[in-house]
Amino acid sequence: MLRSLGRVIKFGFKNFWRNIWLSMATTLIMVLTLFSISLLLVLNLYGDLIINDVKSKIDVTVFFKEDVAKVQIDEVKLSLESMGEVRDVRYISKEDALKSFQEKHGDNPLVLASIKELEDNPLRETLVIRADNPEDYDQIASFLDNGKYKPSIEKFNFDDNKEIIKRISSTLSIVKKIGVGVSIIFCVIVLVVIFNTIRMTIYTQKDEISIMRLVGATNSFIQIPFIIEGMLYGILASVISTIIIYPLIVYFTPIVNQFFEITNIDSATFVSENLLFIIGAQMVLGVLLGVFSSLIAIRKYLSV
Amino acid sequence: MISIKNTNKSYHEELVLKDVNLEIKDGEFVTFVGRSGVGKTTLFKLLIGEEKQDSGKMIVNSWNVGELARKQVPYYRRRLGVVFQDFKLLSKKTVYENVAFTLVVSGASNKKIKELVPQAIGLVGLSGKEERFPEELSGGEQQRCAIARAIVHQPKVLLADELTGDLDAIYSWEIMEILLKINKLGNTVLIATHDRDIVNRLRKRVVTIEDGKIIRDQKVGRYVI
Repeated sequence: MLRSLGRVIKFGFKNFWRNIWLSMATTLIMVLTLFSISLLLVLNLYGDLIINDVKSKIDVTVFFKEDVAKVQIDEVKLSLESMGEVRDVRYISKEDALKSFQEKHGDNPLVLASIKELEDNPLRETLVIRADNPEDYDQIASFLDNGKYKPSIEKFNFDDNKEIIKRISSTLSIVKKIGVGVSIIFCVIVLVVIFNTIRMTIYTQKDEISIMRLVGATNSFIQIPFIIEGMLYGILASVISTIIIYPLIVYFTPIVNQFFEITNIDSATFVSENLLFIIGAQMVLGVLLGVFSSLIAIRKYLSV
Repeated sequence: MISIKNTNKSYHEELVLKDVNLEIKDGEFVTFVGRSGVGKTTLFKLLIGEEKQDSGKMIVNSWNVGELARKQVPYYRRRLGVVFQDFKLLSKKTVYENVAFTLVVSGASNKKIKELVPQAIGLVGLSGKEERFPEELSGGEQQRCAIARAIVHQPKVLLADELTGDLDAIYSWEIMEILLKINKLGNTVLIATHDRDIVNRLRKRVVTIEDGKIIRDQKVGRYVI
């Protein structure tokens, strides 16, 4: 059994080599297909990262008036937290605010000096509010603006990244739609091309196949080499496609990061975290496509 | 043992084999004679399981040939040796590879292949020509190569259809001598031919077929049509 398996694999490789130019052309089409699909995959993964990054940066900061008591702030905090849209509310005391301000401007002696000049802590008690969805900030803002807490609030600033997110999402969804369309077209092409290549191989091996039958080769022994051939196209193409896509990711992710001012996604970690998944997905898909069209060709031209 | 009972076969409603009955013992050498198109090749096709009879029964060494499931056919064929009319050698394979092919596709071990292939090649007298390609062989040598491939897996039954069709008389007899040798080793040999001289010289059992029917079956026969 194992011996026969070794032999059919060898036969499969032979099929591949026998029509090497045809095999290369077939592999190339498979590379294009897998490349477009994996590009789509990367776009999806990276797009999600970007959107999450931008989303996580949105928050509303509420500055309270100087005379507002801590109890009152706690009350605001509690009622904010009871809102379904709010993910978390963080309280920053004057002192903490000052500390982080000093840390932030630690390298600027002028700022530090001017702060020291002041007797009082010039900063205010604040609440930093984050929502589950960027769409919810409007509601949170109107709650603060019109509610009973309005008198105690000095101001709140609202970092409106909503427009940016909307733009990214809509661009991504357009690109994804195009990507899905292109990928589907490539998949259909690759199915037809592999089907045709296997048909050619079967045709050029007509004599061998008929003799195999007559000297007692089992059907699976005759058919499996063609399935192996189909798998080979998938495996080889996924390797080539990865070799092409890897430097592209490494080159383009820093540019994308810079464009969106993303600091917490490192392209190297992105690659190392997702490379195996991308290779695996390509390989599985490539092998599936190859085997599927081989099977159709076998059914049609190797009927027993 | 081969037993054929009341076997009929037709193509496009034309009966090519009519009520064929035949018993062949182990180790027999049987010659089937008759003009082309009388049904010899059809009979052979039924015997190797390439075609199925319309009615009747065919038993070859306890295999019920007409009733074989598709999956059983390859295993049945491994028990047979078949030499085809047109040799069916693979042009891109050497003599050695052609002969080994039977063993390779039926899953024999490499050790067994190394042991059996030279034996078969030696038996047909092609030693020293293992690395040649079919087109570098004479017609008679191609024939021998085809025989070597048919016997390499040591089948009990050897079938040869129109073996000597295109060969000169001397070569034809050489081929027959090889088949006689194989027969002497205890194997059943069935050949189909319309070579009168060969049949008369062999002095073996002769089954004469005419119009799809067995019209004569002689223990030590002559070619009479």
